[in-house]
Amino acid sequence: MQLQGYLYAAGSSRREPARLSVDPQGRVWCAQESLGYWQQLQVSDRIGSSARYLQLVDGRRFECRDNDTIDRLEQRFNPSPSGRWLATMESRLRYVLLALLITVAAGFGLFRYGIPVMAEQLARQLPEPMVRELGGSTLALLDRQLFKPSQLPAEQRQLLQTLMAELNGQLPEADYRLLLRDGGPLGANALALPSGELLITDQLVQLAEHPDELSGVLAHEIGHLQQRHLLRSLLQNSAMLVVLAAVTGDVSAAQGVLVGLPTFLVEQHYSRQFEFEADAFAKQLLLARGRDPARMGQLLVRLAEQQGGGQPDWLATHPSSAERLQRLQAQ
Amino acid sequence: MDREPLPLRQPLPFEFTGSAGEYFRIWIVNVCLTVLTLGLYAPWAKVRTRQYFHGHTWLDGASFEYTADPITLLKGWLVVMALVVGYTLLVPMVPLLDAIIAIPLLLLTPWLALRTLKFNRYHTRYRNVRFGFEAGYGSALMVFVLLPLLSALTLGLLLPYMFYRQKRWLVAHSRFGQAGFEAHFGFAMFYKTYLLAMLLMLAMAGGIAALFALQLLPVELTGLIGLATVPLYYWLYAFLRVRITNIVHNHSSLDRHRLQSALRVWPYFLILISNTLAIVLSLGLALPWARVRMARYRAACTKLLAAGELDNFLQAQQQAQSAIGEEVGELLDLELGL
Repeated sequence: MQLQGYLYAAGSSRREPARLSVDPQGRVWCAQESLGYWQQLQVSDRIGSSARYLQLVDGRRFECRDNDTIDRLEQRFNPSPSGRWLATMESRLRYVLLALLITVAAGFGLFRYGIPVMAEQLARQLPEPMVRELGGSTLALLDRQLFKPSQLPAEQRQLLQTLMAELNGQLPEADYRLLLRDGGPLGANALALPSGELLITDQLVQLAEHPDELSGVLAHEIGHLQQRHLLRSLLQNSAMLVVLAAVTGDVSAAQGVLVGLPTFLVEQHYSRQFEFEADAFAKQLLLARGRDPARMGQLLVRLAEQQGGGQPDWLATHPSSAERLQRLQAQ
Repeated sequence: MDREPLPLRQPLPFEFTGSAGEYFRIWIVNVCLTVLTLGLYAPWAKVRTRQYFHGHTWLDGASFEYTADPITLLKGWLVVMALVVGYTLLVPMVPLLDAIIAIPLLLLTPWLALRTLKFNRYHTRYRNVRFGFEAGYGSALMVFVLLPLLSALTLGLLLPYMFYRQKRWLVAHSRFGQAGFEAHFGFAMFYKTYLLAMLLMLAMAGGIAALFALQLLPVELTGLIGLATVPLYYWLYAFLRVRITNIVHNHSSLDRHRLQSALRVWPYFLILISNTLAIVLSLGLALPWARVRMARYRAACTKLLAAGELDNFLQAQQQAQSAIGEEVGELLDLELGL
């Protein structure tokens, strides 16, 4: 077998075109000169279609692009190489597909299961003052951008505060505060800030037909707080970005857009799992006070009807109201 | 295959011959094995990636070569991991640990950076001759610690000067065999570039603000300003990267040979931003394609102005280098980008 390439003098960039030939015994020849046996050569690994380098015993070096012939010679005269299986994996489509499959599965598993667990642990470890501060600045921002002062009549406000106090009394060391606002562009809505403030909009209160419905909404929001859902959602989102950058290995190129994206895609909603968790929490709390959890479900259905249809399926991280009503009614 | 002797200063183009499909196979096997081995495979992945990019970069009919042994890298990787784990365990136990190790860490960084440079240069070969890097700890301390401190103290006034000194340090201490690179650029070029970048940024930011102020853009778009700054930030990065690379390459020489770099800001910017979009939208799977594209563009814009044949380089006597600093060097992004 013959190899066409360049022969470099030892320790020099001076090169000459050369043709090596290998006889059936594995002896390597350049013209009439013997260069020793093939096994004595140090052959560089195959990397795609790049050139190979054969280090000769006397310090000379042979550069050659004939990868296939070198592979055949390696197989024949050097049966126990290290690293050849890598080139084999990279060159066979089925191994590449297998690697792709494993990587995607591992990535999916990490995103789906690993990150939520890490985010939960982290959320529970975060110091309380930091959490409260996060809520305080958010409230100021919301008040400036979205909300207007509440227009509810005094007796309705009184009722809501009573419901709140009742729920606070039900929980040890609970100190949640209820704030009333006109929802503005947010419409009928309720949200909970990590600082312990619950916000409920006039529009949602007006939609309610029974005190139990409102009590349910408050209990549900307390559930989000108790399980630190907001923090966990935030952490999950940023943790995914971190992992994405780590896996792709190219932080410098990706981070610009990655940092910008969450503000664009900012999630108004908790995941399905978090909604169900908060519902389950609310249900326990309401039952303990002898209130009817199903009523909150009815409010949700009314809310969905009012908003008309709801979101397209692919965006529906929020569980459907019907599904939640079903769970709230279940014994 | 014989050729006539080259006339004086013949431009020899760099060429990158890698393909996205080929590199994708290597990359996905790398990622998969790194995941399955919980990171232990990382040194092999790094070496194979470098081998791929070096090996597919050609100049005058010969390719570059990366010869590091993954096992050597693995040792460096393990040392760094041990330090990180030790640090994590000690933090809760030793109060003020951060403060205690801050100064030794600061003094250690230049040393690690130096090791990384020596290691990677030593293992980069072209036409049978190794590259090299020879500089003392003092000069590394100067460019990586003292100048950044000084530039912070002067509120950034010295920042272009700092970058200038870092680049000059990188070039002037690099070797190819027994021949040394020489840097001919001055700091005025750096100040000009950074000043221009600052003015252009201010002009663009002012332009956007003016459009809103004159109500040519609806107020509802205010929320999107944050998003609009992303391309702006990319553009700034591309501008500085391209201009500085051109300055450095066009004013460096090796023996009587010189480099010529003709990168342009807009093509570079467009590649950068389309690469990022592709990477994000494909959840990372387009990364090999993106890397290959960028490598091809960079090679296509670079030439060696060769004064005669490249036959006369001789290997220098060098000791093999260990790879302890490699991981840190990665963080410091120490690549001359040849």
